[in-house]
Formats: sequence, C-alpha cells, structure tokens
Amino acid sequence: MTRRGWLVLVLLICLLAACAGGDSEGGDTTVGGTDGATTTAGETTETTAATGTTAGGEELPTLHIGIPLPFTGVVAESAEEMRQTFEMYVEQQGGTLGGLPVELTFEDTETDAELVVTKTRKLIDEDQVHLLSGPMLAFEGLAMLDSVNEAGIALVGQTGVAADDYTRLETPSLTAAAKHTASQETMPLGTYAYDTLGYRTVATLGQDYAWGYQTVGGFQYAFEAAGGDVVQKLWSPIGTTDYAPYVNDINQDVDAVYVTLIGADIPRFVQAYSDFGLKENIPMLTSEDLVAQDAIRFYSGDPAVGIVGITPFTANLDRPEMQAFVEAYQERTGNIPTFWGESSYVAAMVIDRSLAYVSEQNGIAPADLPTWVRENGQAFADASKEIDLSDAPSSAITVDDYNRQVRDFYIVELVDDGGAITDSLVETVPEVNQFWTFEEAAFLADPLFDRENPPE
Amino acid sequence: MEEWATQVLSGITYGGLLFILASGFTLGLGIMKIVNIAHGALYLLTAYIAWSVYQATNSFLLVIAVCCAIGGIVALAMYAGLLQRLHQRPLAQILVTMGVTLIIAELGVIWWGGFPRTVERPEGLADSAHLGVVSFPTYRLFMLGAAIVVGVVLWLLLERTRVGALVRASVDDEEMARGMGVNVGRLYFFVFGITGVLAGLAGAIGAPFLGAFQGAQFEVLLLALLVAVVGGLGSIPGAFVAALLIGIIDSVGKSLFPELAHFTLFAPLIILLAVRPTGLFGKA
Repeated sequence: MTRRGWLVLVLLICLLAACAGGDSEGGDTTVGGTDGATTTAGETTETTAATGTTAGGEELPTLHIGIPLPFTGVVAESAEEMRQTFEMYVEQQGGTLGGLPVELTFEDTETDAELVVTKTRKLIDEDQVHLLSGPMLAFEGLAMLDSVNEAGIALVGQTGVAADDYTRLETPSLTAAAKHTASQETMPLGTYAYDTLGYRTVATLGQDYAWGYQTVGGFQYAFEAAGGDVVQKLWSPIGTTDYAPYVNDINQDVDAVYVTLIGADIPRFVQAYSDFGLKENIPMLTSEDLVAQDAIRFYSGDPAVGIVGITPFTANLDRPEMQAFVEAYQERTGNIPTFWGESSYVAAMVIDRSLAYVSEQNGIAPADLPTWVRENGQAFADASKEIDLSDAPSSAITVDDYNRQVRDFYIVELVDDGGAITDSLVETVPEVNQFWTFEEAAFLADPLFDRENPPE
Repeated sequence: MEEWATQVLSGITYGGLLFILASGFTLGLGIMKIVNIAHGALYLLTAYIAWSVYQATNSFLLVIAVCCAIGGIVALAMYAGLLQRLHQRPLAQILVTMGVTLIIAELGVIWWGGFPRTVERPEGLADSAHLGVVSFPTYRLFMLGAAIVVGVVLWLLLERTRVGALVRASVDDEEMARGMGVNVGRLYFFVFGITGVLAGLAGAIGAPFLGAFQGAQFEVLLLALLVAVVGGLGSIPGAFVAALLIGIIDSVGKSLFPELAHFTLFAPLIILLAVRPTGLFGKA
C-alpha cells in the first residue's frame, strides 16, 4: 500500500475512534456508540390555540417556546417521546399554556455539545423565543448554561439538567423545577442497601463521566454514612464492547454490586454478569438506567431478572395521575412512556402553572405576559417554587431553594412476568430532596462527587 | 491464577469475534483495495435481521443462513451498482460506501426503530461450560470455534483452490492475469460477494454479543479496521493472529488498568505500526 494510502487509513481510524468514543461526557442517556444517522432534523411545530382571544375579545399574543432536543443520534427515539409528551400536555390544555396560545420550536441538537450552544443562541437571538425548555442530556444542559444566563432567559429543565453541579454554581440558575439531581436519586438506595437489605460491603461499576460519578458517588455517600463499606470502584468507558474483563475483576466477596450504565453497554454488562455466574451469587443494585422501560426493552430473557434499582418513574405505578398519563400516551403513540417523556410533560405543566402564577401575582395582563416572561427570566424560573405540582404523573413534586425537585422515588425489582421482563414495585421512598437525610451545609461542604470522590 | 486463566480465555474468545468481524473487511481491503466503510453497516443490517429472524423462528441456524445470504446479496448489489465503476479510486470508494452506510443505518431506524435490539443467546449456547478449574460461557467458546472454522475455510479457499490461485494471481499482477485470459472483473465480483457473506456472518454471530443499535456500524468498522491494519492488509492468518492478540491485550489490559480501556484497545496498533508499519503479516 502506498504512503498516501496509509495516511488515509490512519486518518480514518482517528475519525472512527472519535466517532465511536464520542459522547464520553454524555448525560443521563441511552448513548451506545454514536453517529449521526437518524430521524428528524430541526423543525418547527406550531400549536396555536383555537380560541386566542380574551373574554373582552382582544387578540392574545402567542407565547413562543424554544426546545432543543437531540432528534438525531442514538437517543433520537427518546427525544421524540419528549416532543410527543410536551405536545400532548399542550393539547390537553386546549392548545394553550397559562391561557396563552403557544408556538413550539423544536431544534435538533444532534447529540452534539457545540451544536446545542449554536441552536440555543439561534432560538434566543433569531427566533426571539420567550423562554426555553429542554434539553435531554446532562452535557447539553451544562453546555447551554452560559447562553441561557447571558440572555437572562428562563430554562424550564427537562432530563438534561440532572447534574449535581447546578446546586453549587455561583451564578444564579435560571433553570426551573428541573429534574432531581444524580446523587439525589441514588442516596436513598445506599441507605436502603444497608438498613433494609443488610448489605455491608459493595463493589461499584460506573461509566467514566459526570452522571456515572455522581450516581455512584451518591450511593456510596449514603451507604458509607449508614455504616457500609464500598471496597472496590471500577470505571468503564461508554461503548465498552466486552464487559468480561470488568466482570471478572469484581471482588467476589462483596455482598452486592452497584452499577450505573447507559446505552448498549447495559445489555452487554448484564449478559456478561450472568455468563460468568455472578448473577447467582451477588445481587445487583442500580439507578434508573437499568430498570427504566427503555432499558427493559434491551434485555433478552433471564439475565436481567432480579436487578434491584431506584427510579423516579415506573409506568406500573398505582397512581391515578400515572395511569392517566400512560393511557393518554399509549392512545397517542401506542407505546409505554418512560421517565424521558414524563420529564418533558412536567416541564410543560410547570410552564402552564408558572404563567398563571406570575400573571396573577404581578397583575400582568395576558397581552403583556410573553414579553414579561422573556424579560424576567429569573422571576419566572423561581415561580416554579410556588406552584402546585401535586398531580404530576410519577409523584407529587415540590421545588427546593435551588429549583430542584423534591419527589418520591421507587425501589423496583425486575421480574419475569410470563416471559416478558417488567418492573415490580418493592418500596416507595417518599419526598426525597437533593440532600437526602444529610445536613445541607455539610453536604455542600463536601466536594462534588467525581472519579476519586468519595474514595474507595 | 484462576482469574488470569479466565481473563486470557475471555480475551481469546473476544478475539474470535473480532476476527469474524474483520475477516470480510480485510479480504476486501487486501485483495481488491476497497476500503469498504459499509462493512459496519452490513453488520448492523444483518444484526437487525438476525433479531427479526430469531424472534420469528427461534432457529439460530436459520439466522446464520439468512444473514449470510442477505449480506452477500447486498454486497453484490453494491459492487455491481456502485463500486465496479470506482475501480482503484479509494477516496471515491470511501465516500460512496459512507453514503451506503448512512442509508442502511437510516433504513434500520425506519424498520426496527431507534432502540437497540439484543438477540437472545440460542439454546445450547446460553450456559456455561466447565473447563478444568474455570467455568466459562459457552457462547464465547462458540465464537472462537466459529472464528477458527471461518479462518481455515478462507485460508483453504485462497491457498488451496483454483479460484484462490486466480485471485492471488490477479492481485499480484492484474494486467498479466487479464492477459492470460482470467476474467478479473467476475473474480472480483465473486470475492466482494464473499466479503458480504462474512459481514452477514458477523451480524449473525455478533448480534447476541454486541447487539444491534444505531452506532454499531461505526463501532464494528473501527474494530475491523484495527484488526486488518495490525494483521497486515489482506492477510487472513495475519488477521486471525492480530484478532486474538488484540483480544488478549484488551482483556488483560482492562483488568490491569481498568480506566484506560479504550487505550488498551489501540495501544497494540500504535506500538506495532511504529515497529512494523505493514502489520504483522503484511507485505511491504
């Protein structure tokens, strides 16, 4: 082969390595490898109210909301679910939010941190949206932050604002009623593992980036505070093709293994865990990622049965609001919704009720409301603390000082339901806030969870 | 000791899968000088098909047959329709096969949806086998066995048959082969069909291990490229040795330095190319 041929090959390898290893800062998501080869490009959906007038017959202005989501890439399907549920909420309100007709502009971020910034700026500067909602992935949320703060525009967070970082940011966060934080989800499981399950030693495996560090960190923090000991911490990169080396490295004397993984890595790990006989001897604990509906779709057969995880969302929940949500979504799409879709649905709910709240509190006429929202981003974001979210599908939600959710979490176990895997509710952990049972000041004084923190 | 035996055996069996993924690619690259970017997409397509066929029939043998056939047919169509016109033009081939990759991946989304599909391990291969001190998953042993069979068959085909001799002659001196009355065009058509069959086989055997998901097309291509370059372009024995070597280094490396997992996969490539730029068995 000629010298030039080699050059082409080596360049190709570099390119592919970048592709396959991409998204290493990915958020709370189902990234497997990456590529850019799927579904809808950026597009606009208009949902205009049938009755866009006030009682006095005066024409109402349209509230323009910008929503960047990754419609292209490996998480495309879940992003589409988020669009569907947002639109579903708007339609349920007769095409309005807070009484105003709305226009929704969905932009495709293509699962690319740089493009998120570009699209966010486009929505703010070019489209002149009144407020933003989204994004889907944690790294997108962090990437958007500067543009959002600069413009002083409110961001009603969806799943992409789960990083623990927001609570510690020095600049005021314009994110409203965002998702819970990563460690908030897993701390109750740490306590549960020690107190209820009686485990004393645990090994952990997480993916080597923020969501992995913070979910593993939260579990370890609470488990060790209860008296347990995390004796081994393993980190694997996203897109690991063969999990056998990690599985064989796991300390076989532990009482349980705690795992957080995303994407196509999930079935690979779960299969290898069963292949090498660990499933028989060591129980597996996990965050939402391995027990959510979209993970359950990955599994084939027995290896997944018995996994115990903590999640903010289970479609089987015996709660009228959840059943109504699941039914409405099934009627609309034929599918069962997941935590992705619910997050976006709740964001629409937050916007709806915050609009009503600020309008009443500040005596703003409906005609002036869109402009007021655009100019008072912080006040709008903070309104989420005051509104009633007790009828959100998965749990009653209140909002803390940092605009994070206080909500119920569910400990579930995967069971074989006549050949199909499903999650079965084991216990409800009520009203969990982001500091769990710890003192707020003490918790914030400890460093942010990362690769080395807390240590083994 | 026991742990190391398991790690090395994991590495070797993973290497078996790597060889199956790479064999078609290295054949096309070495013999026809075609950088077939769509190799990974063929894997993806046939892995999706493997899922559908296994869901419908529960027969792993049928999965293998259907995947091989479809892989071969798609490759032949690609060659007849596109690549034949781009003989000896590597950059054009890369672009065209990249386009095919995007189309196939998009079709995958349309037909199978965006969620990953995992094929259940076939009955009889889902358990663990006891080998002396260690217990080892049967499916991994099957991957290694399949790799050995594929390697031997390919080697025999190229080295011990008349067709193989014609292929080698055409590779060494295409003009002379044409002069001697060899129908080089038809021969290449045949060889490219085989690369497609091998990609289909990779889809059938790889699907229960790697799964079928958007992104697999590049992940698999990267692994195939790695094996082909380390082994020496076009060398089947080279690819076999390289695949096992990479498998072992990856497995033991991940165990020793778990946080360097991607690096352990590429380290052998960098070191080897520095010492021996033509790969293990490559010709200068």
